[in-house]
Amino acid sequence: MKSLGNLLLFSAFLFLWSSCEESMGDLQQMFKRTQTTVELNLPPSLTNARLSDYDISFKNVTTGRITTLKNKMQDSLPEGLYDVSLEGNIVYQLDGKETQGEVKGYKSSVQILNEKTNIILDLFLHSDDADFVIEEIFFTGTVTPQGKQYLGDSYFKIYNNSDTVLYADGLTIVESAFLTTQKYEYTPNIMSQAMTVQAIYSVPGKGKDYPVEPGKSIIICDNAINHKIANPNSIDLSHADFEWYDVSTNPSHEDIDNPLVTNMNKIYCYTLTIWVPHNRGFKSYALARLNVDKETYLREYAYDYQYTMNLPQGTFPMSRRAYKIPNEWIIDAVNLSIESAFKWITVDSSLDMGWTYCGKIDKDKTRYGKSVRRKVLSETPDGRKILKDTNNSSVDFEAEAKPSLME
Amino acid sequence: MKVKFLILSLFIPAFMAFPVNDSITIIQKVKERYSLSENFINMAYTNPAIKYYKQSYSITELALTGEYDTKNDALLLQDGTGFRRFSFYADSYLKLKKNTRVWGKAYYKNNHKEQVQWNESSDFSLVYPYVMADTLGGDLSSEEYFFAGGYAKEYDRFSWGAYADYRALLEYRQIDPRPKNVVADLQATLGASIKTGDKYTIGISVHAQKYKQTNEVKFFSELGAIKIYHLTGLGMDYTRFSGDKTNTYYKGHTFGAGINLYPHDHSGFIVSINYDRFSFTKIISDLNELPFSDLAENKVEGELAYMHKHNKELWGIKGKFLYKRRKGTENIFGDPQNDEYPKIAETEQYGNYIKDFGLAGVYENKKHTIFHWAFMPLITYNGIKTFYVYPERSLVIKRLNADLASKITALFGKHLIDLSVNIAYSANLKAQLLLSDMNGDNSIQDMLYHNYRYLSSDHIDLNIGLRWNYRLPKNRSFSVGGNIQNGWYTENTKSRYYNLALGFLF
Repeated sequence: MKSLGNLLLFSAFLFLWSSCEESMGDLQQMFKRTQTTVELNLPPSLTNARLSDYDISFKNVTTGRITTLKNKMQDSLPEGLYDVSLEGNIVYQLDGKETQGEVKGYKSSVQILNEKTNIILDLFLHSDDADFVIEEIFFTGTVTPQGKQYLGDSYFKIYNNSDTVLYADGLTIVESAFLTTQKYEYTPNIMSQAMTVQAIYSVPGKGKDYPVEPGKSIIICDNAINHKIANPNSIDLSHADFEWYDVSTNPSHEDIDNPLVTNMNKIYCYTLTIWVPHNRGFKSYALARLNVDKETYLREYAYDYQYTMNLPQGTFPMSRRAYKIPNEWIIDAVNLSIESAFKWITVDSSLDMGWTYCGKIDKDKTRYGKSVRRKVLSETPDGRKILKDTNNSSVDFEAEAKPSLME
Repeated sequence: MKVKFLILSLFIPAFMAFPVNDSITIIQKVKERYSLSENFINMAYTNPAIKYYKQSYSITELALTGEYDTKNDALLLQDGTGFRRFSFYADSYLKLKKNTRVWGKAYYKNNHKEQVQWNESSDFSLVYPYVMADTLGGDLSSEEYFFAGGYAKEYDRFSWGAYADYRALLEYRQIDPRPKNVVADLQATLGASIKTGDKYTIGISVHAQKYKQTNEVKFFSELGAIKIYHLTGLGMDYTRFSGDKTNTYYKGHTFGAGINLYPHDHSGFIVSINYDRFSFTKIISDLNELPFSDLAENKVEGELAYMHKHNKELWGIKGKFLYKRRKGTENIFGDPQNDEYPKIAETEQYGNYIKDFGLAGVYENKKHTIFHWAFMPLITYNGIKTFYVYPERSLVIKRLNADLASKITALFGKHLIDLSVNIAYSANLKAQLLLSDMNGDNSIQDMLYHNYRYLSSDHIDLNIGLRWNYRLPKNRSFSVGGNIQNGWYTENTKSRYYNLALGFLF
């Protein structure tokens, strides 16, 4: 029976061992946090600048949780990967006068690890000079009554957000070459100077052919036809202001030209068939004014870049050519992405430090018949809407909205 | 396939071999096999060297079983609202020579689970909380194969044994969302024992397991897909990779050991203590083989029993415990560099502690020439504590369960009739669910509250079974049996279970 006694003793030991559980308090103590400090670099061009009121947001990329610090630059945060942004007010000297302005900063993919992490955030002055803005992008397409995808009814709605008549002549719509859902180390990295694009279409005109009244908008669409005839769930675009038209090299993918609607000038497009905005929303779009003619642009603004793909099959160095639009030519930019696959924004954060969406996952079946629409900031006494334009699509746009042309 | 053949070669001899003749009639063997006392002790026989002493006779059973389970509402959404199952089963224990035992087991199950929600992974109880899930779910079909073989031999005071089994599972759904999960589960145990005197044997065993599950979800709809979640426990999901990363696999293994004290005449103290450490990694294939999370489970369980056989009476008492500590670690990744996500940190977020204690007794009376009867009371305490560290969430459940199993057996001529009645009551002692940071997905919250309603409710189960065995020539037997079980839960939920089995024993 000595062996039985030994076994009972062993059982008692195991029972005691099993009773040694950590309490929730112990576990919280063991949870790794990092003392995080933000250092701000104020815009260097400003004299006697000082920050007056600001919010710093830390978005945990892993969990999606956002921690906001108000007028505070230090906190203890769980270890992880973060997107850090700042929005605030700044006071500075201009021509001898004290001037107030808005300031912003954005840094993506910041690793907050170990005991302490210091983050340096470069701030830029946000200008809200009113101009054209992208009011709406309808890129998802629609579904037929038979449950099939229907494309060709996408459109951009461009709004005059100023209080003066603006001319749409030369206004250019561009699509990014890079996906917001796929990130590589592209070299040379030119994002702080220019946007890399692969589709460029401009409104024709000599300068004052297409006036747009304050508070009015124009529609630029794919096929300016009444799509309701082919698909009752779609929209009538036969009265659009402009359409883009592509001469396709593939007879089975021909474009439709409505002679009653003015075609955009095609500056460049990567495809040899027809251009359709990415219908899952993986690209960025911008509104720009090209400051040079088409030939000069195509000759002088090509961008050759390299990157490396690391796949299970091996490492593949890649070389590509696209075009670049200098950031100062860009009037407005909107990043599109999806929650499940977002990797980065493909324009400089001074143009758009956020992103908006239709659908939360790749091939999201709920995305059809939805658009992204800019929110209304306020209304003037004469009833003109002023749209929200803080250069942050995450807050400026209503995601998964009902398209205005379906209302 | 090589593994399958290896296992088959282990268990097939059990069915093909010719056992040493024994003098016990098949009806007596069946009566023993299905007696309450036969199943009173379980753990000792996980050591194949101890299993050598399990019984002194050979028996083989082939059975076809049909089962049907239905509930008016799911208890745990991940388990579904019921199932229909057909299975073929073969089980054999043979006394091959005077000092050699072999045993084998094989089954095939064809299962159809109804309305499984918030789980698209297989073997939920093994891989939780790191399962893939969606808001839709649906019925799941599966086919499961199991092969096992054991061998034990005795030399004077010493005996040794080896056991291995292999389980393969294919689980799928043929409408969107379409999981297709393939499980390969290989386990092996080696054991040895030595007699310390005339009565007791001390045994030790080591145990290993290799586990793999590929877990994939596809959508065939032209219009696209819905969101797939990678759950991380207590309603949390890994936001960054939830959505459309639907190709994953689990790779795990177990190492364990056990010690036993066993009376080889089946009368006296029986002690068994086993320790197992199971761990697995969940890998997302879609993200260049990204090691998403790790889980480690330490399990200690023990049984201390005393059995007494005296003429035509048998009684026994047993105390048992189980302690399981499960900890999950989520890996944190940096910005992808050319399609590769570098791991930058890890955080131990999930914990699950299970403590079970039980006290059981058994009494069998065989004094009457025709009617034998037995009963087995059991009282158990279950404690479950689950937590998620940040944001802070916890679930505490404490239950007390009382169970009374009883059986009357009538043996007359070539007939053996078994009537069993089992009533169980489970009372909730404590239920506490603390959830912070609940601003997210409402459907996940609904799932948590649904499961909590069941976990915090009292319930009663009543099971009635009837089995008839008929002795055929050449010491063989045919059996027909069935069970009906009703369950009542405090949230107006009811369950009903039926099974019907046809068996052939020799």
